Amino acid sequence: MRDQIWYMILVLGLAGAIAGVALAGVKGMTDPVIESYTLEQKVKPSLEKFFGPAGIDNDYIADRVKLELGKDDLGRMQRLTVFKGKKGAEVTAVALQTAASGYGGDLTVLTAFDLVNGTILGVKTLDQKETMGLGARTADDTEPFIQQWAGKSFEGGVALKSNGGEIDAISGATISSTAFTEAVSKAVTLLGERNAEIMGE
Amino acid sequence: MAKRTLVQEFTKGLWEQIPPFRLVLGLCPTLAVTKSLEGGWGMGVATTFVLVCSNVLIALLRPIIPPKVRVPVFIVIIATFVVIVELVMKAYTPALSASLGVFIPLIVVNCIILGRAEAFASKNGVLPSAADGLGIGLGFTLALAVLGSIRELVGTGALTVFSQADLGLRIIPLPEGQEFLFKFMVDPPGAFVMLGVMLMLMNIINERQAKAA
Repeated sequence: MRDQIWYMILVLGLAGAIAGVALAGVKGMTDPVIESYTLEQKVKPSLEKFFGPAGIDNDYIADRVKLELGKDDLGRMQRLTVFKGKKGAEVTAVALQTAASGYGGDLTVLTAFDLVNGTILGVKTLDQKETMGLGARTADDTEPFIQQWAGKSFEGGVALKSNGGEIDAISGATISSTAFTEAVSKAVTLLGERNAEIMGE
Repeated sequence: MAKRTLVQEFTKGLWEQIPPFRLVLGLCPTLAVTKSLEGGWGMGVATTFVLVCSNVLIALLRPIIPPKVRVPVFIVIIATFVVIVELVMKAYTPALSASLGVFIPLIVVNCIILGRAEAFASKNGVLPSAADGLGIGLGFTLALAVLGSIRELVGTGALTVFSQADLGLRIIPLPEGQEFLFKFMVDPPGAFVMLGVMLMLMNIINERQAKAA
C-alpha cells in the first residue's frame, strides 16, 4: 500500500494540510503580540520624530484606523493602517503603512505626509526580509536612501531616478529600492483615492 | 555496530559528533550568527527546538510515511516547526529575532536537521530520536555559544547574554567612543579563523586521547 500513488498523495496532502492549520493557529496567536510590539517600538518613535516638528498634538497611535482595500490574488483581505495626526480638530498630517514585494518577501513601509505643504515628512521601514548589507539597509534610518525622502513633494507621485523620478536607489539593491519606492507610491495613491475615508472620522 | 543506550545517543552530539566540528554541517549559520554570545546561543536554541520536534515527529510517523515521498514530508514537517519558531521569536524575543534576521527562516535548509531526519530519525524509535536531536542540538548550541563568546570578547571586549533584558558584561573596558577592540574577530573572516583554531584544538585533544588509549 505504501507504494501506491494515491497513498503517497494522501500522506503528503495530509502533512501539508495539518502544517497549514497548525501555522494558522500559531500566526493567530503571535500576530497581536507582534503588532503591538511594532506599534510601540517602531511606529511610535518614528511618528514622534515625523509628527513632532509638524506640531501634531493628538494621540495618533490610539487614533489609528484600518481601511479595507479589497482582496488580493490569494483572496486575503488587504488592510491599510492609517495614523491621523491632528492639530486641534484638523487633520494636518497622516501616516500610511503600506507594503510591496521586495527581494525576500514583503517590505512594509510607514510614510508620513504633511497635508498642509504637500510634502513627505519621513519614511520608516517596519518589516523587511531583504539581503543583509544590501536591501536590508532600508531598515537603517541613517541610510541616505531613507533620509532623502523627507521634504520631497508627493503631489506628482514618487519614483526612482531610473523611472524618471528623483529618488536615488541603493546601489546593488535595485529590487529592494524599487519595492520600497513602490510601497511609498502606493501610500501616495491611496492618500488620493481614499481621501474621504482617511480625512473623515 | 552495538546498540547504543539513550545516554550514548545523547552524549555523542556533545563531542564525538558535535555538528560544526565533527559532522562539519551547518557552517553557514555557524559563521554568520556567532558575532556575539547571544546570537550563538539564540541560534543554537532555535535549531535545537526544531531538531528535537522534527526528529520526534518523523520517528513517530516513520511507519506511515511512504519511502518514495519521505523527503518532501520531512521538509514539510521541518519547515512547519521553523515557521513556528520564527513567529514565536518575533513575538516574544523581538531583539534577538531582529539580530538573527534571515538566519531563523534559513534553519529549514540547515543540513544538520534534514541530515538527522534522514540518517537517524527515519531509522530509529521515538526515544532514541529525541535523545539524538537533543544531544546534537545542544552540541550545536554549545559550539555556537563558545565561538560567539570568543569572537565577541576579543572583537568588542564585552559579552552579551540577552540584550532584551540588558544582560551583558563588559569584560575589557574600552575608551569613550571606541566600539571595537579587534574588529577582525566580529567580521566574517574572523569566524573562519576562529572555527579553524577550534577544530585544530579538538583534533589535538582527540589525538592525545587516542595515543593514551
